[in-house]
Amino acid sequence: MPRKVAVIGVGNTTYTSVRKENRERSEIASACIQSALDFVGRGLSLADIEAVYYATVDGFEGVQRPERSMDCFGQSAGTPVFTVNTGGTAGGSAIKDAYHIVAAGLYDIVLVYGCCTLIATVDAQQILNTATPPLIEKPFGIGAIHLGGYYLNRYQNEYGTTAEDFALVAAKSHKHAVHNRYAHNRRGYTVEQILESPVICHPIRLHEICPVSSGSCCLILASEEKARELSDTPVWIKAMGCISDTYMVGYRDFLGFPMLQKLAQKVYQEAGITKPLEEIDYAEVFNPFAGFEYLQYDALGFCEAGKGPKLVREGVTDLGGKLPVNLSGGTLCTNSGIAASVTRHAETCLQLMGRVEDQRQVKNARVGLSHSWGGPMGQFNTLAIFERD
Amino acid sequence: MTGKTIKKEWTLDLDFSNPMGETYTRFMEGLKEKTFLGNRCGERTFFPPRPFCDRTLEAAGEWLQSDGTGKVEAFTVIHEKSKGVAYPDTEDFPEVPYVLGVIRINGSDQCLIHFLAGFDSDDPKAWPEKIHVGLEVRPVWSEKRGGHILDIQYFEPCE
Repeated sequence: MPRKVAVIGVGNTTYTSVRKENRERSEIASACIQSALDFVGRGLSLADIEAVYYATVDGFEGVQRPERSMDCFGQSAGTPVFTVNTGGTAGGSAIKDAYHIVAAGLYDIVLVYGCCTLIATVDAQQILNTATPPLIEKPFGIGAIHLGGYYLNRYQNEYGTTAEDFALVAAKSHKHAVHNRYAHNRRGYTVEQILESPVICHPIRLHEICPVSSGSCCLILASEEKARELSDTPVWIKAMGCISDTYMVGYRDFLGFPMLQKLAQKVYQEAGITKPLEEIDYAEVFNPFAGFEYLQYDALGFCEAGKGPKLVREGVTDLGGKLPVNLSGGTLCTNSGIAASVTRHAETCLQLMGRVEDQRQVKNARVGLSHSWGGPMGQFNTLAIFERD
Repeated sequence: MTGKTIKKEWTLDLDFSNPMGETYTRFMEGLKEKTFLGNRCGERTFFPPRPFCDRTLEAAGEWLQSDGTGKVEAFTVIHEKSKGVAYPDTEDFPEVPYVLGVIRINGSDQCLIHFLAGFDSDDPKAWPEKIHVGLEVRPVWSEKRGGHILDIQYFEPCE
């Protein structure tokens, strides 16, 4: 029987723009890990961490195997460090791997570190260009935003979504990021301001696109015995899964997120969830482009296909609604590269622990969901269901 | 703390060479002759072709030929070009704004990413109205063709 595993600690750094960053990458990591140790308290120290999962993505850090070049994971004491790389979902995948290894009984206390991947690249598109199919797709210089344009254009074409619908869901994130001390963009753009911002990649407007952020996030996972000893608010991992899509972008017809839907069916079954809107109290979904939230609502079964804008207009996914989503501001307001995929899980855990700012705290949230999307051209999704006692 | 930091800059300039296989080579040769080749993999057809079926790993079968006519599945209008994008294989990459499409050639089970152009309007804001899912498009071939996906300059509406 797999053992129960909980998240007991969350570590964050301050988040800023890549341009303003003046900390060296291992300084960022050490501050982040220290903040997680302090979060747990009770004398927990680096020496108690039995293994580290390092989430990154090829090429972005400008060095081969970046974890080797950072002496902040307890290597001098012999702590093993494992790298997980599934692009933008590496954080989610690393949490799943850490969960499995603790559930299997091999380690009791494991740290998952989502590194700050965007500070080294002068231009991230150079790296993305090395990740696409070289003969047929690379010559078009496609990056994440172009895929974002495809998905949202297709959604709009299918359901008649308006520019205001997209601005509404963006404004929901911006409004709450104002209160999140760990958000990068806290300007709180309104629907009007969003609609006034220029279209960068049709139908996506400037204020519907994530910033390039610096900062990092980590989690401490523990076996049931250690979790009860070290935490009054352990958040249990109920179910977690990952799914891969094709490398060739041309396989997708860009109508919704069918792979996420498939993954959700599996993870919900494992967690015993049949009515997600009724049974889940809080969700963080990966929204580097604000409109993605609508496709995710559909795939995650929060509503019938195309009815996302109605949920937002009725406040169902806002604070006080039945299922608040992305009250951190989401990836839309802070995109610290790979760290952002750990942050989705961290934010859900913080909500269940009752540890976010009062202005955006969901009362008595017991069951949470977190999701990440990414990899070369959106190749991967991860999904987790958490539950507190 | 002063907040001051020095920054270390470096460039990785590394050379690689990867064989691309016979299937893609034949496809690229076809482009020189204004032919858009595909192939059959079990019950599915692929334009461009694939060397093997990604579901069964079976080697691809019969070669198929088309004039490259297809239907738009999705598109986006790029109003701002990413800074410093390396487009190593083309000199005449379009200036913004331009349109990137997802095109299903000849009912293929896999689409092609390519440029869309030739709409009867110079106003980029009007383009989204000129394009829709299902729009029939055909390739506009370059005069100078060297066996490259950009031997097709762009796809234009058939009507």
